[in-house]
Amino acid sequence: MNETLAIAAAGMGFDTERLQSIAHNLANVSTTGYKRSILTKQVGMPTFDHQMQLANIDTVVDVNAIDTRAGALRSTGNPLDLAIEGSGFFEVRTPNGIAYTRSGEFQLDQQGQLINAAGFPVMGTNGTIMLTTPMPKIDNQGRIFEKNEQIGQIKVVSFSDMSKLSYLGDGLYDAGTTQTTDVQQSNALRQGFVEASNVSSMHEMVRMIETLRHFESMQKVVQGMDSIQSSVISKLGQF
Amino acid sequence: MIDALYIGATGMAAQQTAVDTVSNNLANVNTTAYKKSKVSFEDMVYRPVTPKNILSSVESVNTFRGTGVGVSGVGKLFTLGELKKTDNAFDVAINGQGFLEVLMPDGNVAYSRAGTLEVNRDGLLSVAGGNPLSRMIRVPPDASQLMIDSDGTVRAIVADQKDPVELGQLDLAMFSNPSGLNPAGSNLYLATEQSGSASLVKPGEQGSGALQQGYVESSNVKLVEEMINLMLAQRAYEVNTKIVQAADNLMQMSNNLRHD
Repeated sequence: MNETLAIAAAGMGFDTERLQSIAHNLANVSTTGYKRSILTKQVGMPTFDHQMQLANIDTVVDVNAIDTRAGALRSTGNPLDLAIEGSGFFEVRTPNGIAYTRSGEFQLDQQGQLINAAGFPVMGTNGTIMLTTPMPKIDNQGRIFEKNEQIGQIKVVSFSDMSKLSYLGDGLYDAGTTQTTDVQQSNALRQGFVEASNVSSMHEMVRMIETLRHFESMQKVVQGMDSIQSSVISKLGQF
Repeated sequence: MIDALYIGATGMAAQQTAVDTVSNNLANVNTTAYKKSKVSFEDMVYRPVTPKNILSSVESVNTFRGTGVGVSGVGKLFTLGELKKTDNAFDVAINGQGFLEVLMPDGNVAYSRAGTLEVNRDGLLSVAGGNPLSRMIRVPPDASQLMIDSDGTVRAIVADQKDPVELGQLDLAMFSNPSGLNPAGSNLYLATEQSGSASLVKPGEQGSGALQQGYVESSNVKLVEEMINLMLAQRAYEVNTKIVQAADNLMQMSNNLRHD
């Protein structure tokens, strides 16, 4: 009997986590370069033993996938804003190693080094990039020009398997075990644009309503079980 | 207990900052040489979740949960505003990245792009408000026809002289990262660690920009852009309040698991 309650409780636990993931997506609805997270739980089939006791539920697979679809490009006119069309990523150097980002809101530090919004150096094809002006010209292959002279090229990489990426926060992703390849010749960079978040608030609201209603039905299951048990106890007590 | 509640709150706080920034930009749409601010957001730290499944062990793939959004910074955009003709000899616009260096009453220097100059009570060429330019250019009371050349030479016709007399030479301050400057109000900026220290150059050199007398630089705020940002921030705020409500509903339902 108690399995019903346990299943309903697990269901409500999942719903709470799912709501958290929806909340995180909606909180980042206007975060540049943010990629929506999709939390899924794959619950296996329950198996019962000969006494109809729940023997096992196969592994529950808990996946927090990243929806890597591109967001819309938004014009900002800022010469240090860059967006990538297609599936490439920028490379930045963090104290914990190389990380990747789609968020091209770049700026300069006090020495004129190109850094991202979180302050990590942006990598070029030949290491970090030093600029002498905050208004360089950057072509669609990432080549940076100051006074018509090329001073560097922004590194753009793509991944063989995007599902291996994981979130690091600050708009950064860890490549994990996936292979990276340089894609310099792709003509994919757009200066003066940033990539908007790929969260659709409509989609998330629908998922939110779905989650709330599912939670509500699980609540009804618990209440139903409770009243069954209550009547069982009172009926049995009459004998 | 329910993280969604706090995550929704981070979203509301972030959008509040966005609305604040937009309103400050809109208020300064007509301020001489005002530079618009922009907010950038970042998704916040992902924390690992420990399996807490009641039924069986959880095989987890990428089980990091986000914790909302944060403001990674509010920065100024130093793109050039439009130059507006005023024909006032005391107006000078900088057609590039440089700043005028201003001496503050406390002895420090500040930087300004608003070239609406005046002569202060000590007879020194100063920015609006009376703080003199750091080159201390003295304008004699009998001077007429102030001339500021594009390379910063300041000349004027003085009563007993036929030809214009050179009064001084303006120079411009350049920063490797102007977005790091700290806005101090009154169109003034202070150098910070992020901006780097100023290097003084002659107007027109190294991209500092030629001086243009008789022009002022207007604000670089674009109304349409700000209105769109305002709408986006408002709606994003709204959707985050929905999440807070949903988390509230969820807690209410869990409290009513046992009905009377």
